[in-house]
Amino acid sequence: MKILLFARIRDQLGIDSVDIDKPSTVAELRLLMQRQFPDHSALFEDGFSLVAVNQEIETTGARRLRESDEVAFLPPMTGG
Amino acid sequence: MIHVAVQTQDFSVAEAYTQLCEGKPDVGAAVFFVGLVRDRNLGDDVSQLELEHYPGMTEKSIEAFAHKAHERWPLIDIHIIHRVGKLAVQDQIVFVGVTSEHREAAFAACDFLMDYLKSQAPFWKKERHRLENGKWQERWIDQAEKDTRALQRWHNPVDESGV
Repeated sequence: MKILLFARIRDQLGIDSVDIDKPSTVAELRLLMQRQFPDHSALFEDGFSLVAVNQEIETTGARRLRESDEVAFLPPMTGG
Repeated sequence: MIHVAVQTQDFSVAEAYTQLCEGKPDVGAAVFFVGLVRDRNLGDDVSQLELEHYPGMTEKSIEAFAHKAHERWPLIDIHIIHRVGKLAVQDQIVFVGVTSEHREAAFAACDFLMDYLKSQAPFWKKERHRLENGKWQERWIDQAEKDTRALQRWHNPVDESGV
């Protein structure tokens, strides 16, 4: 599945999305991303980034993911 | 009514104000806030800001918070314009306008919406600033604790919804 990357996360990885095998949950997604990008694993830790599923922030790691979900990693918001 | 726009182009405060008030005889108070790019942040000169958003999610998120404000205070209209893309010093970034019959609700809702926009809305800010050696550097801005704290003051014991 395609994972969208925004702002600092996109800049540090140099890509705006990544295709990975669909993880079963948000928590597993974080682990997969840390494994795929070991030099930038801090970006995918629970304490730093937010995960949006279908454009809503998902705070539950156990949330199950479906192939059709739109999933994105967001750094902490700093706008306004 | 709630109006939300996320756009690269500049906006006219006069036009937004007119839209909020014209033909609305029940409006007794109009409060608005305009945020501008200032020339210094954390002691550094800033020449340019770049604001990024998540198209679709950002608009939905702002609308959801505007609805919370509408539920919490007796408001007439909310008008929010947020710019994205490259902005220079003195450029307008954000407009939040709120109307109500009496001023208390409009003042409070405008303040609340700005605290939300600063801390929870999906925007990311990148700054270009000049180093001591004269070179320019880009940096993503970290979340300000002050802004997160500011939103917390709207929590209250009788309302567990976070607004």
